[in-house]
Amino acid sequence: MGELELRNLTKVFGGGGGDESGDDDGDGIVAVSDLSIEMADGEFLVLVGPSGCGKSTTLRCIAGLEHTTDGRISLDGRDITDLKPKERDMAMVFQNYALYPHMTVRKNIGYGLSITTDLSSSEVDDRVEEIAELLEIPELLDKKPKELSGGQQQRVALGRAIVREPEVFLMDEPLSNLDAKLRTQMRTEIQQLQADLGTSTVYVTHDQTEAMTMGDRIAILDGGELQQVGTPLECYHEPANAFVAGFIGSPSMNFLPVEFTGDELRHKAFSYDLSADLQEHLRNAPRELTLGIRPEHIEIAEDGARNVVHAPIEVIEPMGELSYLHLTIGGTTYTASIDGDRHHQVGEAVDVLFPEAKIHLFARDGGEAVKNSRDAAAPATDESATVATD
Amino acid sequence: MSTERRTHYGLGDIEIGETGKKIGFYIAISLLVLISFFPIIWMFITSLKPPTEAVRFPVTYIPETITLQNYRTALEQRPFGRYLFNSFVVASGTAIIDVFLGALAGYALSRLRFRFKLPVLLIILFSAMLPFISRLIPLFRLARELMLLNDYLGLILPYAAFQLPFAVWIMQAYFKELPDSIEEAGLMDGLTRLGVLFRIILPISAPAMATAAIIVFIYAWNEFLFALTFMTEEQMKTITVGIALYGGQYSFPWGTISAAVVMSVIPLLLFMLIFQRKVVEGLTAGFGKA
Repeated sequence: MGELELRNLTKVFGGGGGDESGDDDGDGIVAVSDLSIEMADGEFLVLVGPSGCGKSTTLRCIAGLEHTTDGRISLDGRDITDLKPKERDMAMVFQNYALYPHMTVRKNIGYGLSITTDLSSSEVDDRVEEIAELLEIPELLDKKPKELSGGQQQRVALGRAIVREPEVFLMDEPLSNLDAKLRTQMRTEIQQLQADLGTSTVYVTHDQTEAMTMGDRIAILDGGELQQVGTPLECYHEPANAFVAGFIGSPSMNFLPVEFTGDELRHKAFSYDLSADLQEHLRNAPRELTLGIRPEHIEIAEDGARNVVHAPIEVIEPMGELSYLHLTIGGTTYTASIDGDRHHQVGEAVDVLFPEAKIHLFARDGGEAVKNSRDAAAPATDESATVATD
Repeated sequence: MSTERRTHYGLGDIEIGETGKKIGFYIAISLLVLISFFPIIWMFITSLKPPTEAVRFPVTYIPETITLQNYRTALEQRPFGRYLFNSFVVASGTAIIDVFLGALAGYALSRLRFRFKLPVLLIILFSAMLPFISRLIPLFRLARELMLLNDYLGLILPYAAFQLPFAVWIMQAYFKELPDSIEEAGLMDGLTRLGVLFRIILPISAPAMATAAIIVFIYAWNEFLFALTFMTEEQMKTITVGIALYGGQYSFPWGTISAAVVMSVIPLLLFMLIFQRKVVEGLTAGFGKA
């Protein structure tokens, strides 16, 4: 079992709450604020957010490497908030692998096992060899870490975590030191490994692609506060606020400031007529809104289409299957992702449309979502939406 | 053709330039080594000269007669072996205490969180700057009361105290460079803080320990004033004091003194060589590709 629960977890640095390590930098910096997450047994939860959002601190609190300032952490109903790292039955994989440089791979993997259990050295050895087979590194067992490549070191670090059969794996950006190709490969391997072992995993990353592709659920943090927890597709289609909408998805969502007048959205370069259903849905919405549209949802309008925004192309980035067009609308540049086979020229103006079903609307003040691309109230087609350029 | 020729000359120029640089480099290095080694070389030459030649003027740079008489005299006249042994015990004891305590204090100062950390570090450094001579009389009285005169501990303890600040600074500076994650991995693996220090951190801190040990050992080996004051019995004297005693009230046997100095330097050189290799080994390589 590995049901992990964080209840109102708060971590303040320099505010009197001591921790296990490091210097005391700064006064009263709130790293994590009132964070509550529940995690099912065997779940793969990804904590994602920009640098300094508190995701690593949260992980270190779960590991016991930082004392929490407030809140409780429990594992399978057992309160572990004040337990030492070794008493929590968790294993951690670090960003820089943190292998012991003076020990062989065999010793590195088996070290935790030999300390925390009373297995004989031959039993530890058997277990280490089993894990090495699983990770396809048996030939590395007698080498020292400095003789290994980054990818091999990463496998050893994984082996060290797996061998102890913990209730929870904690992974702190384990792939960020690898090159792009190896990262993709290791991503799949970690996913497979986690699925095979069925061990609950908390995975920290700043890479939204990793979060989207690996997690059963993702928790998006910003400024120490939880913004949203949900499946990757929930977070993609139904972001709780503008921050989540902008963070999840690549390239990022475009945000256009608009004014809601009751029956249309007014932008300084165009006005956007709303369908009756959406008007009804937005009845209590604030006047100042932000219209969000993902680059992949912007469509090139056919000749004679009604719902068009006239936008000159500033830059074209051909990616092969897709091309990114950087368009200027109302003096600001936005990105559209279009079919790579379409040919356009820089400087040429194109007519684009934002399908009503795909647009998101956020309150300009606070950023909460008032309409998402999957909202039931939004019509399934964009027939009723009218966009007219000024 | 002409292009090929020019290329050929060009390469030749580069080769000459490179060789010239290398020669210049080695000449400069040799000069530096010669300057710093001159006293030792001079002592070695003097130790091989007969007594009359050693004080002759103008000096002879290459001995006319080579003799080992000075070495024989040095070994026969006084208990030279005993002096060496005493120095070795005192210097090793000092180095062991300082490396051990320096590691503990250095670890606490570099890793643990407590208030007034910087002031503590500065006080430690400041204590090393107190005038050496001012501590002699009080410590002599203390040693006499504690019956530590003519006892190895009588020298080891003050030496260790004087050199501890350097050991602490060296160790804490080194520990600071080690990634936190390696310790955290140890904590996650089930070690205690002290377990992490002794089983993970110290084994990979050999370079820092060797550096601290070398500095402390050399200091303790070379110290004269305390050794002269605290060790009055012939059997307890260290090598520095022993060498000074070769001189009489009216005579100064330079040849014998030089022979003794040369013999006293050899263990120090061996010690340096052994530990220097440890330093160069670079045990810290392989922390991952951070």
